[in-house]
Amino acid sequence: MPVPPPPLALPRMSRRWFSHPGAWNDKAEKITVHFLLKDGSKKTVEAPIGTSVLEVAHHYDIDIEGACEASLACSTCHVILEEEYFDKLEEATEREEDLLDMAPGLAETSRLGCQVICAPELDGMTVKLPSVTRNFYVDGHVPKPH
Amino acid sequence: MWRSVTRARPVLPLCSLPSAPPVPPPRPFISRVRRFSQLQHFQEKHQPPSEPQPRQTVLPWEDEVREGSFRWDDYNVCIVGAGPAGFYTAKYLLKKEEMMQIDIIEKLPMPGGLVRYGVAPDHPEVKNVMNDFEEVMNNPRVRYFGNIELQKEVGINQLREWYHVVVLAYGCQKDKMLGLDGEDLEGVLSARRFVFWYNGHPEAFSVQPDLTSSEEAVVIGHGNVALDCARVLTRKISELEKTDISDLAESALRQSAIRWVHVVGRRGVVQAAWTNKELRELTQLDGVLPIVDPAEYEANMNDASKKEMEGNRGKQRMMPIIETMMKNWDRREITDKKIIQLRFLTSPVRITPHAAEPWRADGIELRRNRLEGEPGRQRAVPLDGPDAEPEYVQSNLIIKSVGFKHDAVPGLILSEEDGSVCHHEGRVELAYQSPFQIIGGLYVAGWLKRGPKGVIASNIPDAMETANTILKDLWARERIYISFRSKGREGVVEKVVEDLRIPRRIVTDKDYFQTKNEEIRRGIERGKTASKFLRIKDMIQFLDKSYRDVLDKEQKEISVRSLLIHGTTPLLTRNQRAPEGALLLTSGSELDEIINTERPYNPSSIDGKDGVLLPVQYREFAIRQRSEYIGLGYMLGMCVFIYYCMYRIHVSGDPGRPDEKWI
Ligand SMILES: Cc1cc2nc3c(=O)[nH]c(=O)nc-3n(C[C@H](O)[C@H](O)[C@H](O)COP(=O)(O)OP(=O)(O)OC[C@H]3O[C@@H](n4cnc5c(N)ncnc54)[C@H](O)[C@@H]3O)c2cc1C
Ligand code: FES
Repeated sequence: MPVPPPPLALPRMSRRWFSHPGAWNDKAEKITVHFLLKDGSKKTVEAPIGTSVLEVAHHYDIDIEGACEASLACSTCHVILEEEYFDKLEEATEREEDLLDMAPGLAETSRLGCQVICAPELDGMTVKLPSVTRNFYVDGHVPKPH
Repeated sequence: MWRSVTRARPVLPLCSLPSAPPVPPPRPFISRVRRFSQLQHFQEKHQPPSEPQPRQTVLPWEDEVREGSFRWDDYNVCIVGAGPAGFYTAKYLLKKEEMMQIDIIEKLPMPGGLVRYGVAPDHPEVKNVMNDFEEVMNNPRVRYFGNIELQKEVGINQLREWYHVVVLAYGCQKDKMLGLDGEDLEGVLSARRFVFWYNGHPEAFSVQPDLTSSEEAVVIGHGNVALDCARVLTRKISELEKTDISDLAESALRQSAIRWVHVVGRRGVVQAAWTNKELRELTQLDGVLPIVDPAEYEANMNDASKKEMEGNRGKQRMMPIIETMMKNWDRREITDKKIIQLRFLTSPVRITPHAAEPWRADGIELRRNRLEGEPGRQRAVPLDGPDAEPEYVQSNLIIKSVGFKHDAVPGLILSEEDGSVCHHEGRVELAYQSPFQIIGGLYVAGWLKRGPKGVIASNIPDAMETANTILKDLWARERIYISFRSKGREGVVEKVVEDLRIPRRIVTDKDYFQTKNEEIRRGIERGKTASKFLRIKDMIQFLDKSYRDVLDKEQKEISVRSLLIHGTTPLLTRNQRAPEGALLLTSGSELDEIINTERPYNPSSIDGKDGVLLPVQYREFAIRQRSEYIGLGYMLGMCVFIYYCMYRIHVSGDPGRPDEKWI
């Protein structure tokens, strides 16, 4: 027995955005989502209906963080949608808007990936990852070059 | 194994990188080993006296790489500081390069940095990010060493000897000062100390803010941290007691008499650094009335401020929240709720000592300001004339939330603008020398890199950039400091810690999970999400005890006899330190030897070998048992002897008659 186990081995909390265990089976109804990655390339994936964009990105190993695990506290899952699809979505809540205020590379059609749920009318949408510039600071601070 | 050198350099997919900095001109060759030892032992002498240097540097730097001077089977990276910056850097390094081997060194036993000890206890969802960090810790290519402080237990040059790359991500450990009279009086706390106090940081164990003597408290500063402090001071205890707030803070806040918190800032609404989420939260709190004086608001909304607001979505969306707070202004006298007053254009002038007890603060003098300057760079200028009458707020608790400072490794150059370490794309530079001279193999991330600002999310692009730079340099084998004495990273940290005069217990990732589970368990007992250990001592004691308990349980099933025969059952694996009062054995014969020689317990004999752990009581038991065997054997021998004697008497007659036989 190499390592004594912790006295109270709590099971690790499963990630909240993987909340639909059945969502990823083959029978699930799926839509097509294109991801426009940071390096400019495009990745097209099949996303089951009912899953969030964040969950889809994690499933396909696309670089979107989700630091607060979809509990609307971090804005790391920020994505930019196309206007056409943006209008089809329900309006963002106040809290989501507050978080978007802090998000790097904010655009008119920005949303939080953990709040965009795949639905049939979103079939074919393109999700753009915000381009991260290195001079972005939340407080509006722009560093001078040394 | 390292792939062929001629392989095309991998394209960096994370984000685009600006062109490489100019390479410094070649310098005369001095043996690196010599230079290093010189620096180690004769630092002052080594400094060339003629060269103008604003700060003394203790860091040898290299940007040349000798092919073949080092094994490149793995990339060994050490990250100093287990905060968000450190973990995100580790995460991206691991993701992009499968030969990456990472050690994380942290000053405190528990990882997380400001996620654990900064983020307010009533924001548990922000702390979910720890799950992400735990995943990094669980990665078999990552080792975690808590309770080891850079510059105390290990030196930066030691680390640079052992690792290809050292990433400094130790954040900001000091406070900015206001430079006021009376700033050092009792009752004046920096926000860092106050936040650490309610979050149960080991360094804030002795902090005791006075919450009972006055009804008013003052928080100086207009950032999210200031709002955190104000919120914790006023929030209902029935809500706070369920969180992972420190037990001491919980009982102090329960007795709190504070009813009115002034959040004071020298400039206006538009210039405040807080975010809408935190501001809006104040308006949604139960039992708290956030107020803004409409007159103050009017005064700061000049044309320049309005211009600053234009095109800034966040600031525009802030205005309705401030307006709600202005509507609350009239209710301030009649409400029975606790009040948070956001005050603008107000600067502290001095903190006055108490008349009878001059060592503690009694109140703070505030003065009024006006804004002056172009949009975007407005300054606060003191008012003059009849409005300039200073205001006095009687308060025994004054919290300064005016920012943090670095506690940089001596030799690193800090930029004058925000005090962050001079760097280019994450590579640490000696900026005062010719442009872009780089300290080989040394990188920065997080608050140390970009100054103490931004949220956890802002560490992500920042860590990506540092990770990209590191990979670029490693793949190109450029700008990496390589010492001829490089020993690799195996066991070095443990060795250094064991050689210390006052041994430190390394806290591993297993210990972290164990401590965390215990904290949760204690929390459940008290109806909280977690009850944190408030002192390092308690934490280490718990860890040692739990290991002993497990061992005791194990040992009851194994007798000393069977241990002597199959004495190699490994209970202690590499990197684990033996708990206090334990013996490490690697074979049965060693157990024999220990029992025979009664060798005293010596922790330095535990050097990471696999072996069997025995608690000290067990040794005593073993020794006792051994002596019982000896006693048994002795008695048996006596019996045989007596029997033999009687036999002789029987065959040769009675020896009791001396005249017959001996005379
Ligand atoms: C009070 C407060 C509240 C905050 N709340 C939020 C929030 O709600 N949401 C949000 O998004 N952001 C919040 N932030 C911001 C966020 O915490 C920071 O952006 C982030 O923690 C910076 O990460 P870092 O890794 O650079 O520094 P840190 O998190 O400070 O990590 C540095 C680590 O290095 C260790 N260390 C220090 N010195 C040494 C040494 N000599 N040797 C070894 N290790 C050392 C420290 O112990 C620490 O663990 C808050 C910040 C503060 C101060
Ligand atoms: S994952 Fe944190 S807000 Fe979406």
